[in-house]
Formats: sequence, structure tokens, C-alpha cells
Amino acid sequence: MTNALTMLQALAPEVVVAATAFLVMGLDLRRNPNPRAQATVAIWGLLAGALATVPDWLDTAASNSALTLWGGIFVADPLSVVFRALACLTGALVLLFSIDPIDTERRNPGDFVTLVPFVVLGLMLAVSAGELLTFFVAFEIVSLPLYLMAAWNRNERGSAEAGMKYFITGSVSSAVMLYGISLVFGTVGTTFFSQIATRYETLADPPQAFVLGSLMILAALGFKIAAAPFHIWAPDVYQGAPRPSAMFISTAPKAAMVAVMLRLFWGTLALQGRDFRLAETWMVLLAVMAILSMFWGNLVALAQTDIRRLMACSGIAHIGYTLLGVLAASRAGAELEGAAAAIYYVVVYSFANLAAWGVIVLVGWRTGSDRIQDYSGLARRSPFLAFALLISLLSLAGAPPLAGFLGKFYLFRALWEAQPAWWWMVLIAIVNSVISLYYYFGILKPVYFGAPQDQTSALVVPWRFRAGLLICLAVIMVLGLFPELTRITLEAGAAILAQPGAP
Amino acid sequence: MHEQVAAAALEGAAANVWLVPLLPFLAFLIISFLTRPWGRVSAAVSILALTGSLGVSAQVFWQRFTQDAPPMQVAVPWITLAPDHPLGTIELGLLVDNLSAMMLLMVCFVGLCIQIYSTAYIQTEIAHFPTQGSASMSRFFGWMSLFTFSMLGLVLSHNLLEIYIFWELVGLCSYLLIGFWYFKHSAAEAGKKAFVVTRFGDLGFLMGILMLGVALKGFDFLGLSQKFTQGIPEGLTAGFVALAAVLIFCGAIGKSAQFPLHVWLPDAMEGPTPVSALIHAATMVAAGVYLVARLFPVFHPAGHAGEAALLVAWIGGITAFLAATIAVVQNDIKRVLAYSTISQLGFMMAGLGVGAYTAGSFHLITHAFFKSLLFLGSGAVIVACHSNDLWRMGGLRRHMPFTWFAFLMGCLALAGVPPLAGFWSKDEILGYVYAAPGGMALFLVLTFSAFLTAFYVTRMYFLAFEGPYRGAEKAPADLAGPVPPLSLPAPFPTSQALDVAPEWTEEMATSSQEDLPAACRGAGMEHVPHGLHAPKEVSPWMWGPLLVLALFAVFLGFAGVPTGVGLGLPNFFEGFIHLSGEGHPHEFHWTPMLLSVVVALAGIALGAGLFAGNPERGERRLRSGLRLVWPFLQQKWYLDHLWARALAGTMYAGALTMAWIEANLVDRAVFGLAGSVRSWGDWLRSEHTGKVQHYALMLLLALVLLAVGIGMVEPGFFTSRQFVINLLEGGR
Repeated sequence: MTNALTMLQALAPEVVVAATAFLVMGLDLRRNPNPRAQATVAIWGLLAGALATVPDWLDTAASNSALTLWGGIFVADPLSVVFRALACLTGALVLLFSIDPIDTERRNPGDFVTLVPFVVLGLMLAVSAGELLTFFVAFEIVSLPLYLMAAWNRNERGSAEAGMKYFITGSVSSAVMLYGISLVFGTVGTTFFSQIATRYETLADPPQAFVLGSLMILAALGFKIAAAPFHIWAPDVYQGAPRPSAMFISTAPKAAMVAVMLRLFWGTLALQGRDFRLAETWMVLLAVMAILSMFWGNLVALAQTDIRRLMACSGIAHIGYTLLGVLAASRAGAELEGAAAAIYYVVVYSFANLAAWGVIVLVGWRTGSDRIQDYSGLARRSPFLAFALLISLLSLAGAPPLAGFLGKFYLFRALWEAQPAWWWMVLIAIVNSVISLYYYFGILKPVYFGAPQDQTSALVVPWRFRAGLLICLAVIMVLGLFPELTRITLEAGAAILAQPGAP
Repeated sequence: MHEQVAAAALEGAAANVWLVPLLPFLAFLIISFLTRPWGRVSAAVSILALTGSLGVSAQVFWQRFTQDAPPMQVAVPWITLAPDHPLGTIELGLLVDNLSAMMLLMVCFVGLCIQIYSTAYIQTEIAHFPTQGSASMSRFFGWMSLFTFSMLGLVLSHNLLEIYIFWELVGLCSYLLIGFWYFKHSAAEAGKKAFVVTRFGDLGFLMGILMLGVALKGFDFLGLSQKFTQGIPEGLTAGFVALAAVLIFCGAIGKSAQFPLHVWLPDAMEGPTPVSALIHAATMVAAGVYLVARLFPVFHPAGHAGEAALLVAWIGGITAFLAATIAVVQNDIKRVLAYSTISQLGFMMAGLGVGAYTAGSFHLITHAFFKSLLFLGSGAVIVACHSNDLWRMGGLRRHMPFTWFAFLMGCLALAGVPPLAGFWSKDEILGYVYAAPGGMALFLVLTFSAFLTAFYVTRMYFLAFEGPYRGAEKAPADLAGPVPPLSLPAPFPTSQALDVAPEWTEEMATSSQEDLPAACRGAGMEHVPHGLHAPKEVSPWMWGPLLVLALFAVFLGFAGVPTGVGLGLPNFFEGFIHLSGEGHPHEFHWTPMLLSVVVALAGIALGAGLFAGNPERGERRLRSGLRLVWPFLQQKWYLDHLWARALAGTMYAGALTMAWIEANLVDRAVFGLAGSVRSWGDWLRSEHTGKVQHYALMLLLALVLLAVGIGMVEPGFFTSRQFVINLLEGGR
């Protein structure tokens, strides 16, 4: 039984973010709401939420332990701390980048600002959930506001269509997940992660329902992170949804769901059963998803002329790389490195992606276009934006000395060391990195060497964008130049091992 | 890294040593991002930061000087390679020993003098360019700060990889500052030349680092030195060590402008004069010498000169001689000093090569002071006369008394007149070479170079400071002008069948005035109307630092007076900078000392005899006396042409081959591959129909397919476990 103080400490980030969400909502009810002020409140609230994870970190990281509440429903361990903080920071950055365009376009900016902390709250609960149903509820807290945000410009055909598509396919995936959860529960009689593993080891017969159920959960998670073959919605939604929403959809949920995958599949499901070899099966599934995602994402990105569709495809490809880390983590003996590599990669991906999307949001807002050809001569119109795009895309492409390079290096190394016989997968990943260079440079070439097309005026970068971009770039460069900072993520990876019920 | 080396942690004043490079870096950031529009503020920021660095490094130096402590270092892991990787963890760290403490103090002090001088000087250059303003001053001080940071980082580097990073950073800053007036074609070309030529050496450097580091499982200096104190480490052959050392020395050849890669340094004089003083006289070019001193045990395993050390000594000797000969024929005051720098660096290398660790380092320090003094003095002269050409100067002694006095002190120090700084340090190298077994030939070469040094210094001094002021009007047309003169034919046509124009010869640099943008016409100092008024003394901001440096040029030598001379002074320097492994303790010899005094005085006497009264007549007599070799010297021994031909030609031939391979093999493969990849992309894209019902269907279809897949992989998924067991057992 935990005492009230522990509970308060473990839940403090969630409490802060929830309070922020309601405060921002309340501010919207005033007669003359001021969306920018609301956004400022929300940003500081989210930063406070990130800060509130520090005590949890200090408590758990050193001892590789976890604070569990309510018999294991809520788990605060280093993994959850890293991703809760990341969710808060992502939310704050998204707000920083979106409030200017959203407020200018006068489409219920207050509501938009209100939804962001709610999504963040859902993400935080999802990564700290120790039990499937809690996770599902958190998962829905994330999904529903995102559907709304995708359809935000409801008078615009594209946005309405994107929202509709996201909603319908998302609902299908939710249904699949719920079905999966019920199958798992039906087989092992529990929804607690920590107990699933122990119960499942005692099963006598190969539990078809259990395997099918967890496959369904995997598929639903795959949908959220847009991993092939469940990625099909992503390009349409990213292109149609308002840019700030697309930015949010492409970062925060992905990172959190990768954390959940690590917790769920590695911590509890990828076990060697008594008479069947579920662990290998999971590895095959993950490998299939990873390879499909990399190839699909990178190849389709080659043909894109719209930067938002391109970023959607590149996001699919990056999830493919990340799944390689999850795959490495599934192999006994390589858990630590694999998990650490996947976590590091997804953190780095989040910041690089946010920076790239920050530029896309600003350019789209100012020029109304997302065609890559309209980025021509951006370096002359705004050297800073061009530089931000350069650094973020080079990091995504994996160029040293940026963080993206180390991310890929750690992933490939983890995969290699998990199983040297998987060298061909490393090779596939490297080939894919090479393919991706082509389309990243396809953006950078017009940006730096093209002449500005119609508008030759300078692009003014508002201070919010400048600040947000500088933060993202600093993270990308600092993480790349000082890789020893990754020990933080390594420790987070280590902590999953210490969690009850883990192998 | 793996072995514990006897080294203390940073303590006392040394615990703050990280501030020394950090402050200039902060200044660089502040100048770049905050104070860019205000040049004077930027200068103040830069100088303030450097003053802070100087304070800390003085404390560190004092701590090292008063305590006899082992080297101190601190390191943090930077990149962790795979756990079982032989190199383990690559670290970043700071190494504070006597050598680095002394270098820190020198860099900070000389740098500070130069920066104070620059506040006044750079404005005179900016005034030549109508398009340039206060922001240019910020740019200048920002890059100077960045350079200072890089140089201090280089000095404090704890391992080879770290020093390589800073090595490239100082190279970058050098490039940026040489090409500071980037719109001047000659400056841009000179910057490029410096960068490219030094990169040739750096390639070898990197290979050497990797050879040594991988073979010995670690890159840190103390660990490496430790392994070599007892001779060649186990498991390595002498040949391997020699090869690695030579490769590392390649980096030093490039950076310290040693033969055959010295060709970039004279052209680097295109940069503003304080840049020449700081980077191309006092600090960066000395980095190669510093590197050899750092890795002294690698070149001298167990205190005995290896083959690599022999190469170092002879490269140094050849460079010292070659550059001294070319300096004799130069007309550009800065180029005289540039060749003199190359020559003096050659002396240092020769000293280190024969094992004179202390003497080589001592000459590095004294040279930094008197050569930066000479460069700054030449800058003052150039400001006063609006020309680099010695034949347009003359009589400046009367017009600029402070500059004259400081410059004269620098000249005497460089010429090796006792008891000035250059005498003691150069003499110590000569004494060491004399005593070294088999060093007689080298000794003669170096002594002759010392004679030439005294001679060209005297020539420079008399042309600039004595006699009447000539100005542009009275300059003798047949003597003045660029070297080599445009009328002197190149040894072979530079544009050949290969169509390689040597893009970086001096001829082009001097004849490229037309390439200036119209707004900057008249930027070349030659075109500024002048000569009617007499030159006048420069501002105190400029001659002040000159006098301070002159003080050191005169008195610094007393820090390292050999005990055998009998002045009753202890040899402070040798007591501070010495190696435990330094072989035979330096035995004092009167012969080389007397000989070096004699040759210095002879050089001065010859120079004075020729140039004191009527310099034009003296020069003509000199030319007719040397008429056989004069064009050869003017063409810089044809080395620039040779490199242009050899390097550019080879590269062009290589480029032609690669172009063919590119067009016929690579492109076809790549375009073919890319075409098929693209068509795959197009095909996959067709899956995105845009219909939401298709999407939902695909989602479920994928799920079903995966489930079927699992069924194939997982035994007993479609059947009962018993059935599988029966199947497997029945099959046996």
C-alpha cells in the first residue's frame, strides 16, 4: 500500500497537466477569450508537468525501481518518466508552433489550445498504464481529440475528409484493440501486464486466442504509429489535416505508442512459452512490420511532390527503423541496448520532426502552399528557416554529427549485437537510409539552390517559431555532439527490466 | 584510457582551466548573435573575454611554476563504442602540464596584445572598402575569438582525436580569416589554397592517429607517452611506429608550413595583418611544433631519435634554409616575414628532431613574441605607407619612432643578436644540433640559414626604416613590385594540355585587382592616393602593444640562458619544460654559440654594407652578384609551379578517369536502380486510393494476413498441440 505522499508524487505530472487542461478550458469560457494567453498558460503548464516528472526520475532511475499505484494500474518508472516528459515537451512545442497560425485564421483557437493538454494527459496515462483497460482508456483520450484536430478546418474539404478518414480508420483500430484485449483477458484471465506473463507461462496448450488477441493489440498500436501495413491512412491525414494538427499527430502519439510497445510486447508477451515459440513469432512480426515500413515509407516518399505527404512517408519509414530497435530488444540478452536504442531514436525523431514541421507550418501559413517546388529559394527568403530545415532533415536522414546519425548507429549496432545473423536486416536498413537521403536532399536542393519563385519577399519568423525551432535544433545538435547523454535513455531502458513481471 | 596513467586530477587554479577556452567561445557566441551591429562593442567583448582567459591561464601557469606537480588531467567519456570494442570509450578532456600551461599563457598574452592592436588596425582596413562597416569589425572579432577558443582547446587537448578536432577548427578559422575580405579574389583564393594544402597533411595526420590509437588501444597523450618511455611498445615494430610518426608529422608539415607543403603560408598574408600575426606567426603555425613536442616520446622512443625524428630534423633543416633563401628576394614586407616564419618553424622542427625538446619549445615561445611583434609592426608600417612594398617605404625611423623602436627590437631578436630573445633560443637549438651525433651537416645548414636570416632582416629593416622616404613616386620601378615580377616567365606554361590553370599562384593573386567588385575598387592599398604626405605614427592602440611585445623580445631570452654561459642566471625555462626521457643532458658548447654570434653579425654587416647607404645600388649589386639564382629564388624554387603541375595534373587525370567511370558505369547503374526504385514507389503509391473504405479494408486484410502468417510460424496455432506433437513424432 502506498501512502498518499508517494501517490501525489507519482501522479504529480498528470495532476499538473490535467489542472492546466481545465484551467485553459475555463479561460476559454470568458467573454473575451484570449487564445494566445491561453496558449501561454498551457505551455507553462505543460513545462511544469515535464518538470514534475523529475522527482519520479530521481526516485526510480537510481534504483531501477518503479512506483506502482492501485495495485499496478499506474506505474511510474524511468521509461514512463522519459515519455511523460517527452509528451509534455512535444505538446508545448506544438502549441508554440501552432498558436500563431491558428489564432490568425480565427478557427476556434481557444478550443484547439484546450485539446492539446488533454491529448498530452492521455499520452502520459498511456505510457504509465500498468494494465490493458487503463491503457485503452488513455488511448482513447489521445485519439478523440486528435480526430477533432484533424478535422479542425471543417469548412475545408481536405480537412473534413482527413478528419473523417482518421476517425473511421481509427475507430476500426480501436475496435480491433478492444477485441484483442478481450481475447487476451479471456485466455489468461487478467489485464495486468505483470500478471499476463506469469499466467501465460502456465498455459498448457498453445493459446490461439491469446496469440490472436495480442496480434490485434499490436495491429492497433501499429495503426497509431503508422507502421506498415497499418499505415495507409497517414499520408492522406497529414496532407488534409491542418498543419499544426498533422504535426501533433506525427510526433506525440508515435513516441508514446513505441514506449507502450516496449512495455507490452517486450516486457510481457515476447516470452518463451512452455511448448510454443511466441517470442520468435513476435520477432518475425516486428521484422515484417519494420521492413515493410522502411521500404514502403522510403519508396513512396520518393514520388511525392507535397512536403506533408513526404513527411508522412518519412515518418512511416522512421517507425520502421524504430521497430528494429524493439525487435532487438525482444531478443534475450540484448534487451537493454535494443530498448535504449529505440527510445533514443524515437526521442530524436520527435525533435527533428517537430523542427521540420515547424518550418512546414510557418511556410504553409505564410504562403499557403505545401508543394516542394514552392520551397524554392527559401534560404534567401529566410536563412534561419532554411537552416532549421537543413538541420532537421539532415538529422532525419542520419547525417553526422547530428543526433539522427547516432540514433541510427545505436539502432543498427543494437540489432547487430542482438543477433549477428540479422546482418541482412541491418543492410536493408542502411539501404533504406540511403534511399531516404535522396528525397531529403530533394527538399534541400530547391531550398538552397533554387531561385525564389513568385514571392521574393523575406519571410518573417515570429518569435514563437524562432524559440521553438532553436530549442529543437539545440536538442538535435547537443544530443548528437554529446552522445554520452544517452546514458539517460539507457537507464530508462534498464528500468524496464526491473519492472515486476518482466523477464 | 584503459591504463591508469600517473596523472593527478585538476586541482588548485588548474581546476578552472576549462574557463580558458570557454570564455573566447562565449565571446564568439555573443558577438555572432547579440553584438553584431556594433563593432566596438564586439571588440570590447572579445578583449574582455580574452583578458579573463589570460587571468586564469596566468594563475595556472603560476601554480605549475611554483609546484613541482605531475601532469594533471580530467576527461569525460564522449562516444562509447561497442562495449567490446578495442578502443572502448573515446574521451574529451583537458590536459594541464608544464608545456600546455606555458602555451596557454603565451596564446592568451600574445592574442590579447594582437586584439588590442586590432581595434585600431582593422578600422583602417575597413575604411578601404565602402561596402564594409561596423558589422565587419564584429565579424573580425567574432572569428578571432573563435580562433582563440580553438587554439586554446588544441593546447589543452587530452588525446589525439580531440587535438584533431581543434586542429581542423583552427584550420577553418585560418581559412575564414585569410579570406576575411572574401570579395577580393586573391584573398578568397589564398584562403582556399591554405585550406586545401593543409588538408593534404591532415589526411596523413588522421591515418597516423588511427594507426597509433588502434595499435595501442588509446589516444590520450599521457598514456601514449608512457608506453614509449621504455622504448618501442611490445607488439609493435620500429617500422610501424616510424610510419605512424611520419604520418602524424604530415599534419605538422601542413599546419606548420614545412617543406614541401609550405606554399600556402606566404599567400596567407592576404589576410588582415593581425591575423597573420596571431595565426600565421605566433600560434596556429606553431601547432605542428606543439604536436611534435606533445608526441616527443613517439618520435624518440626511450630517448633515442627514431627514423621519424631524423626526418623531422631534416625537413626542418631544409625548410629553414629554403625559406630563408626566398625571404632574401621578397619585396613585400609581410612576405619577408612569412618566409622568415617558415624558416624559424624549420629551426624548431630541426631542434625537436634531434631531441632538443626544451630548446625547440623555447624557440616556439620566443618566436611567438618577436614574430608577432614584427608582424604587428609591419601592419603599422603598412597603415602609414599604404603599401606592402618595401621599396615604397624608407626613412620611417624619423616618422614613426615608437614603431621603429619596437620593430628594431624584433629585428634584432630575429637576427639572433645577443642578448635578445631569439639569440638564446636559436642558439640553444644550434648547440643541440652541434652536439647531436651525426648532426654536423644539419648544423652547417642551420648556421647558414641563421646567416641568411640576419641578412634578410637587415635588408628589410634598412629598406623600411632608414634612408629617405620613397613613397610610390620615388620607388625604383625596376626593383619594386610583386615577386616574382610579372615579366619573369614561368618555368613552363602553366596552362598545358591538361588545361589546368594553377589557380593559386602568386602571379594571379597579385594581378587580380580587376576582379574586385566595382564598389570595392581601390581596395588594394597600392591604389590609394598617397605619398604626398609623409607617413605618421600610428595610434597608441597600435604602438602600445608593440612596445609591450618588444619588452618580451628583448628580455624573454633570459628565462632560458644556458647555465654554462656563466651569467649566474638559472635556466628557468629548462627547469620548467623538460622531459624525463630527454636523452643526454644538454652539454654547453662555446663553439656553436660563438659561431652563431659571428654569423649573425656577419649577416647584419653584409646587409648594412649593401643597404645602409644607397639601398637601390646595394640591391642591384646583390642581384648582379646572385644573377644566376635570383630568378630561381624569385620563383620560389619553382615549387608552386611544381605542385600546381604535379598535384593538379594528377588530380585532373584522376578526375578524368573518375568522370568516365561515373558517366559510364556508376550513372547507368544508379539511374537504372533509381528508375526501378521510383517505379516501385509509384506502384506503391497507387495503393493510396484515397477511399476510406479501402483503407479500413486494407487494415483488416493486413491483420488477417498477419494472423495467417503467425499460424504458419507458430506450431499448433491452427491445430491442437497434441496434433503437432503426433505429427512431429510420427514423422521421425
